[in-house]
Amino acid sequence: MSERKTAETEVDQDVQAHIGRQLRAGYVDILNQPVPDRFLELLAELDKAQGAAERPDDDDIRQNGSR
Amino acid sequence: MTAAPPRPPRDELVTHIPSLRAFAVSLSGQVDRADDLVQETLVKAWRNLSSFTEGTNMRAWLFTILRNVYISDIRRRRREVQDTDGVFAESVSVPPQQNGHMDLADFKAALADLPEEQREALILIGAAEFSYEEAAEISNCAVGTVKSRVNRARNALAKKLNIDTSEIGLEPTLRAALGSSVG
Repeated sequence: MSERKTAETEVDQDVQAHIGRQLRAGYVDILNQPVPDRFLELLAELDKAQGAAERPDDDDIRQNGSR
Repeated sequence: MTAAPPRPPRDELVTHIPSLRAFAVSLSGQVDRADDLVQETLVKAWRNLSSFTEGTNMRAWLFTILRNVYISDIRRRRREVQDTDGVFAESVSVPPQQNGHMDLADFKAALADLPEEQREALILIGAAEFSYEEAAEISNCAVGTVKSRVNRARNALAKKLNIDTSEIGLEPTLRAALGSSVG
């Protein structure tokens, strides 16, 4: 009983390691892709919109005053 | 000074875009849809940057936002489609092969077939490598619930994929033991 339990646990660990590798592989594949331009453009637009709404020297105030 | 000065939150935001995309693609199974989810997440994050506490885990904060955007998207789709099965069926492009060979395409299909909350938990722990405590915060549930979801997800994947143990180098006795519990 205890031997069988040990065997199943080892099998389980191997299978789970295999699943873990597949899971991580799909994730890392996307993770390593360059950031699409649409997101850099989006952030630049948000930045620009915010800059137009606030004072131009807002950066320093934000960095020092947000703590 | 040994440590570099902390990056302003809005600059740090950019560095997490690859993680957000990886999470969104893993959740939704579709790159186009994932990028729409990431876009909505970035806009929401930008507007709420003042509520982010500097020095805390921004990746976890962003994942929480993305997760909520994703859930809203699922609910919206359900209302539009009026067919809850159809929402997830569309992301399963290829059914898993039953010959015991588990390649990445099979794996993705099996992953897409898991219940939402199990897939989310498995991705947060197994792919994004958050702690159980962080994953519980992101998923807004108890730590024990995350553990249970991850276990159920792993067991379901092992069964669905009908893993051929010879491919992953198991001893025959172990393979026999596996045959009784998986397959």
